[in-house]
Amino acid sequence: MSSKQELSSEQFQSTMQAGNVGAWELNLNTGILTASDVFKSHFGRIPQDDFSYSNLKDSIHPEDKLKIQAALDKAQNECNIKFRIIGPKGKTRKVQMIGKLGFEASGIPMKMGGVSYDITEQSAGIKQQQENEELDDFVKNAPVAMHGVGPDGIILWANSAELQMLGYERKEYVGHNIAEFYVEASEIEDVLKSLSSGKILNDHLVQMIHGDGSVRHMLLNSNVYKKNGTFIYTRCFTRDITEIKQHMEVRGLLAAIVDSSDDAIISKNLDGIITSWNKSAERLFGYTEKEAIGQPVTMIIPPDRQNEEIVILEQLRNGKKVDHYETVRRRKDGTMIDVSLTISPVKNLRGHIIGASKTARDVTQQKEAEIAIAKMAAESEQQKRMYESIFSNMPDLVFVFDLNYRFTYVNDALLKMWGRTLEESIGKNMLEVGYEPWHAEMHQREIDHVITDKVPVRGEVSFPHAKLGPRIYDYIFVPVLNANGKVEKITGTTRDITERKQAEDTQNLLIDELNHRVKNTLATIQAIAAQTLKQANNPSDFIDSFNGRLHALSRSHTLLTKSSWEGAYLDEIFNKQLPFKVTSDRITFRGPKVFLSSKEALHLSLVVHELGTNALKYGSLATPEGRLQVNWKIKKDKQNPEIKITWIEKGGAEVEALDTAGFGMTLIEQSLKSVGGETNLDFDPSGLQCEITLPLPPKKYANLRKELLHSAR
Amino acid sequence: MPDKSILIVEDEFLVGLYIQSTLKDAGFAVTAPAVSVKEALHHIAEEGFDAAVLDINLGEETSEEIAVKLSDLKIPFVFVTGYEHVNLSPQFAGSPLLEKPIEGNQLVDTIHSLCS
Repeated sequence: MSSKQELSSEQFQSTMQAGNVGAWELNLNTGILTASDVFKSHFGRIPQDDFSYSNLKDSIHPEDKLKIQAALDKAQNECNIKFRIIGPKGKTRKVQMIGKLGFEASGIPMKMGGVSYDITEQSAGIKQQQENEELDDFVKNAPVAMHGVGPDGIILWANSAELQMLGYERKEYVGHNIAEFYVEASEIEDVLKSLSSGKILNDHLVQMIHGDGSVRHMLLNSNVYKKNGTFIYTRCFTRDITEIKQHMEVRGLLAAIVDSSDDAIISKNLDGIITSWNKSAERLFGYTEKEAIGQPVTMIIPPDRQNEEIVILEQLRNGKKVDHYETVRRRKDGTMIDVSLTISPVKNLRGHIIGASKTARDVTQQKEAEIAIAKMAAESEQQKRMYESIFSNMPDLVFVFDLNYRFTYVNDALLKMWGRTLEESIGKNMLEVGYEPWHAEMHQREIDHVITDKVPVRGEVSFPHAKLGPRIYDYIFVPVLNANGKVEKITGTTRDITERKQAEDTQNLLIDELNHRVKNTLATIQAIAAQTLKQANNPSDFIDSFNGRLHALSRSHTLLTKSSWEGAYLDEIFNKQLPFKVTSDRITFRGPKVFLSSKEALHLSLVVHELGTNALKYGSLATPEGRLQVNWKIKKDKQNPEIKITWIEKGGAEVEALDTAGFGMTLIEQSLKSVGGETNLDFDPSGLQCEITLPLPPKKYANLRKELLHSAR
Repeated sequence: MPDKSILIVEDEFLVGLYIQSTLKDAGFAVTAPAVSVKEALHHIAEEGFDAAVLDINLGEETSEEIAVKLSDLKIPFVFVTGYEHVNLSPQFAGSPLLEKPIEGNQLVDTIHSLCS
């Protein structure tokens, strides 16, 4: 024994009793169970009751028997088993038995003994704790959002699903007033009010604010936990139905769109049976929704196009869309309409094709319009080509200005005039294409005038042509009005009038010259008449002389007109002015070709006429035997080359000195002075001799002579 | 009182002859018409004139130079021309001018008034 002081048996027993610890011992040889009163009480027995080992075995809960057996089998020297028993009154309790083996000296087990505890209450506590833990986990980690709210609106708790759904950290949510998270604070006030009055909220729709700021549509299911009639907290289940709501809204919208669409929208299943039929389908095809649904879609397909449906259905089964398929469909009244079909396969949620939606658009008018537009476009193209052809080949300059004085069109003639390419010109203003500043400014002022007053402006201006040099142009700017009557463009055409201007100038000059010539001729005739009259003995004498001189003048005019009054050949003057009554073998004239100016020719003509008349009246031509010889030659040896004409009369009547003061003589002797000529008369008794010297005409007459010779050939 | 002496400048011989004889018949002293500027200026340098008749166009030249000279000498003159549009220097714009064909009486009256 140990020297330590040990508890007495009584003391031990009382301690055991106070601790409600049972004691037991089982003799393994005899099977007799010795049990303390407490032990017995653990099995529902009172101290006076016998309690044998078999009583103990019978008390064990049937479900725990195998468990005990297994535990005992496993046990070596000790055992510690917990098991349920059923007491004599049928009450189940839970007992824990802890025991140890006792051995004989030989080492054979002799007995087992130990203690026992009634753990009924304890077990129940553990179970409660377990249940609590499970419930806690259930609430905390359930995939359904939940929260509790106190009567003051403060959020008492919220589970992870709730926080995740609303997008808040726990500290951002729990401890805050629930009203902060509602779009309308009044909404939550109403909710709390009806909850506190004992109502249960079922799928109550509220709008809450998500952590990202978005508004979410929530369904609220809630009731209140009350204790002794006091509101302790609400139990709230929230579901985010934002997406569902959006889907529903879209669906509603789609339905509305389908209903209000101008296009006929039809759906059908894969057997080709109509399953929906909107208002426009009624209008387009003439069948009501009631008449159409359940009918084969082939009822609106003309007999000769029935096979189209087979092809369409085949395509749909393969998941293909039919886009803007233009065909013909038949209305209820039998008339045909042009339609454009768009057919899409309809799939169920599992992605299987279950039918088709079909949009039919009446394109009868559209088709007519298309044909008309195509025709117009073709005509417009044709016109465009025509105008382009006209403008680009036009010798006149054609161009278009925008309102900012920029060229938006220029034709080929204008480009040639500028010496620029189209690329260098389109979109450019006048300064940029090389106009002088004064010129550009003038046109800009004119364009402003066209824009403001909507009237054409016309003018003349000189501009240097790239190849031809300075030219004179006649231009006109014309407004192009848009549909509102505003000027939108300014078109212009410009014509090169240089030649016309020159022709006009020439014409004016010619008229002036003609006038001058007529006046001078009249003055000459006046002088001839006056001088002839002075010498005339009688009117008949005057008429003869005057007529002769007038005709001489007329003949020289005829001659000069041939060369446009440039001049005449010397031999032609003699040819014209010598009296033609005389046979030609009596008159000879010979000399080189000499071209005289018109003034020289005119004066010489009158001199030759006077000489000829004189010869015919009084000289060599007055007798049948008389001869006239005219020779001329060019004398180049002098400083100023000259022509020397020699007039020799022979074989005529004897010459007397004539009245040199007479007009005829004056004319012969004096008239050539004004052209730088000289006349010498020699009244030789054998015949008159006259020597005329004229300056050789300048070179330009020689050149002109060549031209005349050329044109005569 | 001696006859008034008149200078005639006219390159058309017949017209010159007409002017000459018309003025001579009216009692003026006239010489043969000058046919060029050079000849006219020579005459002016040689002798004095009381008045002059100037044909404006003398072939390649005009009689303006003569008119300038006459103006310097304060000798009055009358232009004659066959042209309707006459391009004269502004200083001669107001000078008397007769159109061809010249009316004899008008010429004589004009010269009389120039000499008075």
